[in-house]
Amino acid sequence: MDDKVLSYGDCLLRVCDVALLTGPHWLNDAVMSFYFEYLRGEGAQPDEPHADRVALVDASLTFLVANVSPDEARAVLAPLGVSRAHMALFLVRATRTSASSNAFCASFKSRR
Amino acid sequence: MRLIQVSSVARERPSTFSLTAAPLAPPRFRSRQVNDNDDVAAAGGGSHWSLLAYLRDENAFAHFDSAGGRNDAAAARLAETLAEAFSLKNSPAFVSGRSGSPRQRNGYDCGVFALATAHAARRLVAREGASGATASRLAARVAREVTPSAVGRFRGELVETVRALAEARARERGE
Repeated sequence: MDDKVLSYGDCLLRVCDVALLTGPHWLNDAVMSFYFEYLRGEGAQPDEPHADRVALVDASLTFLVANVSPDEARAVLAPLGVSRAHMALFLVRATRTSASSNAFCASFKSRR
Repeated sequence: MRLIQVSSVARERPSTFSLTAAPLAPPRFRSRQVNDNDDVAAAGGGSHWSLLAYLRDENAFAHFDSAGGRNDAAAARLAETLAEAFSLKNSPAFVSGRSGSPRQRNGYDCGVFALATAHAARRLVAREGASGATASRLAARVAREVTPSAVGRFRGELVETVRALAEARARERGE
């Protein structure tokens, strides 16, 4: 059975991804990255003359940048216009497994 | 607003893997991102979303964290890598997620807070340019727009956006 809901740019949303949005659930990487792709894909509104000076770095690329050398990070980010942006936004995901921590946002294993 | 230097909070950057092959193919790493937390069954474990903004003119990072700075260490490490990557001359300031970020009131809305914050921040700078890209303007805008009730609405609007896009695609295919 084809459970694909939407293919958008590099992103694919499946039924289980959209279900996370409809219920009181933690959002997974697919949903988070979709929204950044959507913001980029929709482009500038008429009242947004500086839209091209905002760089949006989704969860996957942020994770990558956080785990490579600075030179590699610069190469990864170059196509996104980070170096000329007034503002660059990065989606940060961090995991903590300390027994004393509060689980603010429970995580799901990939269902793919 | 809590201003500290990046270097004072950044810890050692873990080198979990390195890139050797070119060219880079970012989507290849997506599965790795999804699977980076195999030990969620551990007591107290969990994965938390937040948003880090770099403001060029101010040479500052502003961290928006709906759990009050839980991701601060990770965000500061990222900020340190970015500062090195872009050869920032002066050590950039780092505004902690503990300072003024709107807080979630449940255990599942961190991602929606991060996205709603990104939406508000993008809109501010897209409209106003450099004059909007300051930590204080950003914090004020986010505090006003990213409230728990607004985040609840944002979640619903996101579902509608996905459905509308999917329906438009179906129409294009003639279904």
